[in-house]
Amino acid sequence: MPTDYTNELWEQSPDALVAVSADGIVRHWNPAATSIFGYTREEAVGRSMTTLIVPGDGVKDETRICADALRDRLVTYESVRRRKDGALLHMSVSTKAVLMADGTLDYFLTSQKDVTHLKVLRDAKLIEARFRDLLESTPDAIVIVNVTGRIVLVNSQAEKVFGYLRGDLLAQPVEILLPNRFRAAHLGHRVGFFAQPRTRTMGAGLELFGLRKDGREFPVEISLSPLETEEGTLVMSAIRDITDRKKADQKFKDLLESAPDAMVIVNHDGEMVLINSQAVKLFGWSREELMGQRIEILVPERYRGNHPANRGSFFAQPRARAMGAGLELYGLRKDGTEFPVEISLSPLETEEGLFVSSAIRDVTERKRFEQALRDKNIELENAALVKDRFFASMSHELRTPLNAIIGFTGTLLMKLPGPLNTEQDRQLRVVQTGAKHLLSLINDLLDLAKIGANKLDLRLESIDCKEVIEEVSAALLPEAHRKGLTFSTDLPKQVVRLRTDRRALSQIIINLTGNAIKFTQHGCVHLRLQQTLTAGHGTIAIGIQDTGPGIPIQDQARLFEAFSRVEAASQPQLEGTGLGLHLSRKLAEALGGRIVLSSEPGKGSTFTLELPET
Amino acid sequence: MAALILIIEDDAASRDLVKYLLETAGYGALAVADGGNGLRMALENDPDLVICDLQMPVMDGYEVVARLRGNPTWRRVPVIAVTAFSMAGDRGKALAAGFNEHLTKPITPETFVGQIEAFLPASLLATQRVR
Repeated sequence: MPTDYTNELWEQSPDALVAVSADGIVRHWNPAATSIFGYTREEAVGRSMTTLIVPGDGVKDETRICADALRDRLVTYESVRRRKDGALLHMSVSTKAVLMADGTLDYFLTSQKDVTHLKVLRDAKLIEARFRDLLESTPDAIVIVNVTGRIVLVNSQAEKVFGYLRGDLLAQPVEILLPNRFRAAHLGHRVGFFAQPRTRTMGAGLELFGLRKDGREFPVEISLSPLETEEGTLVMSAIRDITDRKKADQKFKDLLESAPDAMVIVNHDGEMVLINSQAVKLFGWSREELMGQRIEILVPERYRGNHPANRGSFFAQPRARAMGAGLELYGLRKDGTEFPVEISLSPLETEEGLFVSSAIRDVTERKRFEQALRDKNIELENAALVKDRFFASMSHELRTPLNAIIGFTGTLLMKLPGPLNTEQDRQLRVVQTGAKHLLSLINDLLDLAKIGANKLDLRLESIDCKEVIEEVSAALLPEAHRKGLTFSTDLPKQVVRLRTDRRALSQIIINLTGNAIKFTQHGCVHLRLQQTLTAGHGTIAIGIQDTGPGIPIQDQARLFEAFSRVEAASQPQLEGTGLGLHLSRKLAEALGGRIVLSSEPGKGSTFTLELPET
Repeated sequence: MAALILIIEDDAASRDLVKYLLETAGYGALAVADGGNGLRMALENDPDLVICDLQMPVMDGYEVVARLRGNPTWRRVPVIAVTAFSMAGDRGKALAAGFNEHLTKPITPETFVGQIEAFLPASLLATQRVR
């Protein structure tokens, strides 16, 4: 035990003991004051006590209390004090005016005891009694703190959200529910709120996080409201865990990012609130530069005037649609260059109201491609014209010399100039055959060129198929007989009318029948005309059947290709242009029909021309 | 009396062939190589029928027929186009231009004279036929 307590009591007092001169300057500051308020004796002595530890709104009270103390010598009261770190404490304060011998004030002695905890319990009791049932029924987590920032009430939703039991949280600074990095700043905000308490959202525009007991953070939305009680102002915070909404938001943003087009979401005022990276890339602005800007910044100057009005009418009647249908639209880059775009708009209903989502597609490439295609088409048309002219003049140039060859061979063979001996006659016939072959080659090539260029001059008229077959038969009968073949036709009794091109039909039948005669050495060639009805559609089938060598199945497909003659070992040198079947098939197709082949080696072939009856 | 036929044809071999066929058949034939001479010969010799190529230098067959048809004396004289033009529409174009017939080269020597005679009145057919 010390023998001199005078100094010892000052040093050991559990309460903060502060001596303040009449002008409010700290003269003495005991170790308890240091431990409670955080200022060392050196920091405190010589400075104004109110500046040090009295929060702004308490200064006036403090002046009044000093006046009371002067009058009554001793006053005891509860008041809020501020620590060096900004935290508020609830103190029980006794202030005594110490007088000099002449009765004037020497100094004020204040003894201050930290009753923050007691105050919390008092507040908690009051709030529990008054609001508990009400607060349990709200869906949000509710945390109520008193002026010192201590938690005085949590509802069970708050227990669940933060993972604490009520007892763990009571009387704790509310910062226990915040991630460490936000705590220091929060203290300041909290004091600020008490200075001007009104209902509002916390940290508008900021991302807020809560901290669970297990150390996990989660995004929150918090609204604050002051609660006036006889124990002073409390603050009620309603906390909503927005993890799910954030996830949904993130999903939405991801979706936006994954869109191939540039996407910009605009609010009612035309301000951009969401921009994907495609849009950033397309327009050359950074996301930060664009956020909150009016969408018109992306529109060339000359179109800006009408844009807000158009935007307004979209909001008036929102529905997904293409922008400016039929108009040429342009986007404007940061560097001032323009590019053609296609834009589709859709309304976007959100909790925050109606937005417009616009998908913007740069169609520069497509426009360029379309132009290239148009140029190419013109080029092709020109090429087709050149080709047509080429074929016309080729035909003309080849026919002119052939005229003399075929003509004079003919006059010689007609013996107009005089008699021929047998050998002269034979050789002239070889020349004539060759010349005629050349002519049919020219004719077939010309026909193919016409079909290829869709220039085939089809004259559709109602004709009698029987008549055409009879004409062809009459023309080819002598050749069949010369080879010793039986030539027969099987025609129905009635007239078979068909609307088609007579010349083309006749050419196909001549080609097919001519081939049949050419390739058949023994037996017969048989022409049959049939009318069939399949699925309500009438078909006219002209079958040309022979007893020739037949065509192996593997050769049948390429039989119709140009210049593809299937070599039969028995008939190595057969005449023909190699275009007859190819041309016949093309002609059949031009008439809306087809040629069907049925053949087997050794058993002959049947080519059937099938034409639809119209 | 057999008809006098004027041949306007720039290709010498073709001109020769047609002239030979017609003369052999007993007709009088005049042959020239271009449209301008053709028109002059027509006015000077008053032929009964004209055979005319379509594509010729200086004055083509279409102009020849247009000039002939423009003259009242020549309005009814048969004018036959013999041409290597055989593309779609060539025939229709020739008939529309005033030709009476459009024959395609190469001509068929066996039937050519007959095709021409179809446009001559019986009184002008050659009496002596070599066939």
